[in-house]
Formats: sequence, C-alpha cells, structure tokens
Amino acid sequence: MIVQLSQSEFYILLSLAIKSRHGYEIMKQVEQDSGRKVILGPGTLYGSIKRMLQSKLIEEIAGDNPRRKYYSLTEKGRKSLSSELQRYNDAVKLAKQKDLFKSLGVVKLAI
Amino acid sequence: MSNLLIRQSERIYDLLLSFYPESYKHQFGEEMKYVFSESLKEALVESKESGIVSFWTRTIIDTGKSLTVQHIDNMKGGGFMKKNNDIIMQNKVFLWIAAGTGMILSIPLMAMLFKLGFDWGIFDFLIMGIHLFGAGSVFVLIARVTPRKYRVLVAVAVMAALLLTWVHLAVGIVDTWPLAGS
Repeated sequence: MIVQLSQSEFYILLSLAIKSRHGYEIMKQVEQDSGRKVILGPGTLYGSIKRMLQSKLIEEIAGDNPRRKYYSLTEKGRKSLSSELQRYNDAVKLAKQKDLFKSLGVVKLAI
Repeated sequence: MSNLLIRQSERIYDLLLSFYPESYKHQFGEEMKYVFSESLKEALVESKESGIVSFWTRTIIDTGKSLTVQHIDNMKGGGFMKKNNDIIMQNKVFLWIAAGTGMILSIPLMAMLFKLGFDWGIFDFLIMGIHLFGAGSVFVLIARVTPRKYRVLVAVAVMAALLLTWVHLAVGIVDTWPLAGS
C-alpha cells in the first residue's frame, strides 16, 4: 500500500533516496533540496521519523558513526517516494501541455 | 560569550526535552539534543549572537508543536515503542491525583454533612484542592526527571512543603509570610 506523504515526509524520503543518513544530515539535506523553504526543527524532524518508522517507510540501520542513529529507505518507502515523484511529474507535464505556468502567471514555485 | 550561550541554550533545551513522553525521549532524546546543538552552533556562525533570537523562536514553536503531537499520540497509545509500565511516567497519573484529591476532600465534606465540627467554606475546599493536586503534580514532574532511588526523598520534601504551607495558612507560622493564618 502506498502511503500519502506530508511535505516533511516527502523531503525526508527524498534526502534518503541516495544514501542513508543520520538526523542532522537529513535536516541539512532537506534544507538544501528545498532551497531553504523547508527548515525542520528537531521536534518536527523526529516526529516525522517516528511516524515513518511506524509506517515502515524508513528503517534504522548501523552507520559510520556508532554514536548516531542512521536511517535508510525501506522497499515501501522507495515505492512511496517513486509514486509521489511520478505524481508530481505527471502534474508538471500536464501543466506544461496546457501552458498553465504561463496562463496562471506562475513565476516562482512556492511551497 | 558564544560558549556560554551554547551551554545555557543546551541546558534550556534539555529541560524542554524532559516534557516529552518518556518513551519518545528515550528513543529520540539524545539525537534531538545533537541536532539542536549542531543547528545552534551553525546559527551562531551564520548570524552571530543576533541569530540566537530567531533560532530560539523557531525552536520554541517547533518544540511546542511537537510536544503537543507527541503527548496526544502517547495518550492515544499510538507509540510503537515499548509501553512504559511506570505509573509516574504515564499521563494518566494526573487523573489518579485528581481522584485522590477528590477522595481526601470528601473527608471534610462528609464531616460537615454529619456535623462533626468542620466548618469549611468553598474557598477552603478550593485552596485545599489546589494544594493537594498541585503537590501531587509537582511530585510527579520532579520524580520524572529524578533518578528512581530519590523518589521517596522527593515525596517527603513535597509532603513537607505541603504541610508547612497548609499549617501556615491555617495558623500562621511566620507572621511576615503572606496569608498567615488566613
């Protein structure tokens, strides 16, 4: 079953798509990927991580630094991220086909 | 100056973390402290001391939202972690304190009903209720952040404070203290 993702969950999954990371690395990657539009505090970050562990979208794994907890995508997380990206991709394609970016006057994508 | 700011901020954040449900704190507390600490250092490097204000504003909003969500989740029993069997660590302990307060207050109420020499007004019941519930809650909150072996000591200290305040309000132990013998 594909899980509906919140904005922070989407960015967290995206940050883990390339490699496993610990909390602080995830936070920095989300900040960078979103062009500083999504800044996660420790409360929001670990609240999302807790929910995603529960939904089995991510899992805790051993990493380079034994003092830190590392997280990586599960198969379910990979599928959810892929499906979400596909949905965005389809929406953008459609918007381009209908020339919506021009007609709506969208000059900058806001999150 | 920066080191002092970092140390003090970390202490305050430690205190904020103590308000999270025990199981959540156990699972993520250390990691949250690390993330907080690193972000704080980064904010200081980026915007010096002035960055601390906006950093703390963001942190307080983030912690407030997260505390609410985690406590609601904890009350729903949605935690995936091992359930804590220690009553002190559970939020339903406050219901027990309220029930205990009600039971203790029913003693003077019954005594009044059976005319056994008690003559309490609504204000007396209110003050006593606030005292009992307050003492119970203070004990629980302190006991949660104190090692288990010191719980008896905490209980004795809270009981002593409760009795002292009560006796003072009743007969006025020290005249210069407020509400003596009121």
